Amino acid sequence: MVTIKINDKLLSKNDQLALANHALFDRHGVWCLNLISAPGSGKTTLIERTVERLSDRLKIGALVGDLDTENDSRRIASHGVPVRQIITGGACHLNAKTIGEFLSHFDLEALDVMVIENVGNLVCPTSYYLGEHHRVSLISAPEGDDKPLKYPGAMHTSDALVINKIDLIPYTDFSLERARENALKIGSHLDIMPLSCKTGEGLEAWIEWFESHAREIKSRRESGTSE
Amino acid sequence: MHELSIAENILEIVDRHRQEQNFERLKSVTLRLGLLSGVDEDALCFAFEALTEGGPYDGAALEVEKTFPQARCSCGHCFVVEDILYACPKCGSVIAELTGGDELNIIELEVY
Repeated sequence: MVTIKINDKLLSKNDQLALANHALFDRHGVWCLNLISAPGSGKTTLIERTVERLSDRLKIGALVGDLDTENDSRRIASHGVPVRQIITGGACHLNAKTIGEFLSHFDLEALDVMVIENVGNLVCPTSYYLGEHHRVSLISAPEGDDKPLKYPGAMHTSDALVINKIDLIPYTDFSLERARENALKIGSHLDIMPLSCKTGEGLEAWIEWFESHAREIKSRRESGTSE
Repeated sequence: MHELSIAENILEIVDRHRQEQNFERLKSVTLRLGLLSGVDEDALCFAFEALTEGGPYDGAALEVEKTFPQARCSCGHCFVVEDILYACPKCGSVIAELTGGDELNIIELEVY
């Protein structure tokens, strides 16, 4: 019997490819955001509202992962955003290799931001780093305020938590305070932004967060200090 | 759900070492899996068994060492979080700063 010591991350191959994606984004001064949520929380709508408000100030591109159909990319493309749909054919998450391959379809030099809309799933995508600068988890009020506790991996690896559909809170038992507490319990570092893509309430804080991070990457590149 | 692709990753790593070291049989693979890794141990073992059945690694065991986050409470107390519904044992606060416990590592192979 022989013991072979490895002591490495299980997904180190994915991580290496993700770091190559990250370097590519940095080289072009593109801020990359990985948006993850359960199906139906409002990822596509959040991207649409964001593009509507920022398209005159930031050039935004999008990569959209789905098990099937091109519906989401069509919705985003209708706002004039360069977008590619990644149909995973059943796979529950995007990986760094696929992202790298699809990035070749974009003129990154012409972009300020690349938003990756991950496959609707709050579990599997958390294990796969794609090379993003920031990761945002999205939940919505009808899903319940204990959602952050049910998906600790997502809270732990995200930089921010957006709570969508707050206009529906009066019709549910959802408590914003409990949701906040449950999220901070796992990720005390999280920026938490409650909003409604429907009414626009709370969207300004999100837009500000989004734009300030995009500008930071851009200015870092302009001053030649990209990592 | 992604435990199947994680199990495929394990076997890719095993294959690579088999090519390098030319072993005949795989006895076990040891993993370190954190409470916050987002990977379900039972589902992973099931996927690993399904993928190895009837192949060169048939019968190999998947040994899992669980790891847990360290919490640092604002009261200064530090403790290990074994359940995400934790509270600080000293002051009762339900929010603390967590570090670690997110490992998804392959530690070693036992082969012969």
